[in-house]
Amino acid sequence: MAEKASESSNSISLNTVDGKIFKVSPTIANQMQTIQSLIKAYDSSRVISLPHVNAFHLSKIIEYLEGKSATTVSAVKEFEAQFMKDLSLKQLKGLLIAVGYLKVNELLELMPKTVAKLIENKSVEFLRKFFGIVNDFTPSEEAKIREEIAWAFDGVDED
Amino acid sequence: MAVSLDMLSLLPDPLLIIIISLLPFKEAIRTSVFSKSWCNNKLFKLTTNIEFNELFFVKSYQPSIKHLQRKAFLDFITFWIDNNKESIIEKFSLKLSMPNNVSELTEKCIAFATHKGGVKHLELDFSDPKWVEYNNVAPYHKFHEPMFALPKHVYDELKGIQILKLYSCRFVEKDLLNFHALKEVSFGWMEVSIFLINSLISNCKMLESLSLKRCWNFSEFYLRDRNQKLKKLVVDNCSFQYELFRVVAPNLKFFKYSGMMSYFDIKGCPQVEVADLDFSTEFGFGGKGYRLYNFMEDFYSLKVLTVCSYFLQVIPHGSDMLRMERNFNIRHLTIKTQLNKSDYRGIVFMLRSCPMLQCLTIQLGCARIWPNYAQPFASAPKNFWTENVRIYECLKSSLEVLEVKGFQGFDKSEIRMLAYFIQSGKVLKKMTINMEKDIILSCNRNLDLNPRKFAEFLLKVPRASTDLEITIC
Repeated sequence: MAEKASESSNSISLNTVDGKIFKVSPTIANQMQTIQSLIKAYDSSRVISLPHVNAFHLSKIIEYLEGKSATTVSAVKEFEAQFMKDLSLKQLKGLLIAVGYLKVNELLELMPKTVAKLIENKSVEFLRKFFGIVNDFTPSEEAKIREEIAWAFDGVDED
Repeated sequence: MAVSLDMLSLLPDPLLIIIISLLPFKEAIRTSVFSKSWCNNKLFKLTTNIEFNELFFVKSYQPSIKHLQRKAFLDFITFWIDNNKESIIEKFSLKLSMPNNVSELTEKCIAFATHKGGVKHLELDFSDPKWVEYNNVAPYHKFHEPMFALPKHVYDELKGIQILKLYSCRFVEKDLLNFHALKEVSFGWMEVSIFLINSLISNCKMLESLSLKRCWNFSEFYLRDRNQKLKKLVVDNCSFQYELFRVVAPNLKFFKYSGMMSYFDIKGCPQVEVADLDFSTEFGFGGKGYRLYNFMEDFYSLKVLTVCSYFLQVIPHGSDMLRMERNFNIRHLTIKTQLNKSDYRGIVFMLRSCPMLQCLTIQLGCARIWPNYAQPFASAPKNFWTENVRIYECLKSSLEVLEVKGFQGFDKSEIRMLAYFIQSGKVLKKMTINMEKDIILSCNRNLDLNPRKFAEFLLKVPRASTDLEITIC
């Protein structure tokens, strides 16, 4: 396969939005679908610029792709758990957007699970605060919507 | 107007839909209250994980209110189905009692879930909540006929199904055998023949988990896993014709059984690591000790075990009153008990038999003493934990964690036992005592029952371990 053949050849240069150049191996680059298709479209010696990804997020993605190739299943799980734990909420958000843009499939599976766990079983007020959602309903508008789906609020601790 | 720059709104919709689909259905619905944009986008409607559960709506026992609540539920389903015809569904669950009163809607619901053919996880539960109340007391079953039948047209659409749960829902056995992608199957409230179970296991080569809840059949239970794929088996209050319960599943790792004490033969399952045994529906006591002891002799592979009060009362009545002949390999033992004196012997029996125990969880509640219980030998319960016990191997070398759940603190026997562990647990590091919620409330009202007093008492007990940390919450 083409990817295998290019393994030993030159690494691929990625230019982030804040102007840092990353050199990554083709194995790593090909795990980001967006980049994979860019490599196919252009010749691989060119620097690929990534207008939506900053250096921090790209370094995190590379860290993940390098780390998850651990030997055992349990070691990978442990690595993933630690990887997610180390991220602040703000970083999580930015990284998720970057991952969505670059289409890193494994992270696209892992990260939504982390976010879903964060929001499971929490009250609406908690979640608004947590994610910085501005409530633009008037109290009566909100009451009306809550009334319509009252059943979905049964058993939630409001705080 | 300021554009809201919250985290969730910045994410592209496809990602948000993935996240919403990972949430329980109720919570997905709740996202519509976040803000106007969340409400207007109606992203929750794109969830691929749909759960129509009558119990979300029907809460009352009063027939007239119940009727209205059920109507609201049926209206909700109808509205949802009519407005989201094109939904992609991966996981669908319908819990509805008396489906025959609304058979047209029920059929529509099933068609809605399956017509795109992409559903991977299907749960249809037509059992009646009333049956549980009835069956909780009596160990015998009332055999209810299935309340609904899986429509013929869906079998083709379910070819890719991975998780299938059918409760009180009739199906065509031979068609089920064509679901080759099945990983997990659960049947409930139905007659399920052992022939079907064995055929499923040999036909569906991906099948890893099988669960039977309140099922019955009129033959001997003899499960044979020739593919050696089955990892998890749950048998919850089922009823079989004979008392013999045989399983040959060489790769079984997890076994949960609740119901009557049968003659278990699990010699063919040498790899079980986690087991949960609950015989609290059992009514007889006499002579069961040998049965239980012999059963446990096939279980030396266990690492995690949960047992009930019945187990503790019966286990010292087998071949040996004091301990298993060989040491167990168990690292985590959970006992569900009310700490009646009748359970003490069993607790000590297990401490003796588990020299590598690292964690002991004591789940309080579920009080019951079985008729014709007799102490294996005379002992004064009051002094039991000071005079009749020694420091067993696990207390000397391995037991690091002790958790007590549902603690009440009135009963001196609870405190005496905990004091025993504090005084004897040489390597104990962590002891967590979770007070029962209601108890904390009543304690606040009644100063005599101050949990603090009890806590102070336990904190003063001399400790065998230097780095023990006691938490009371």
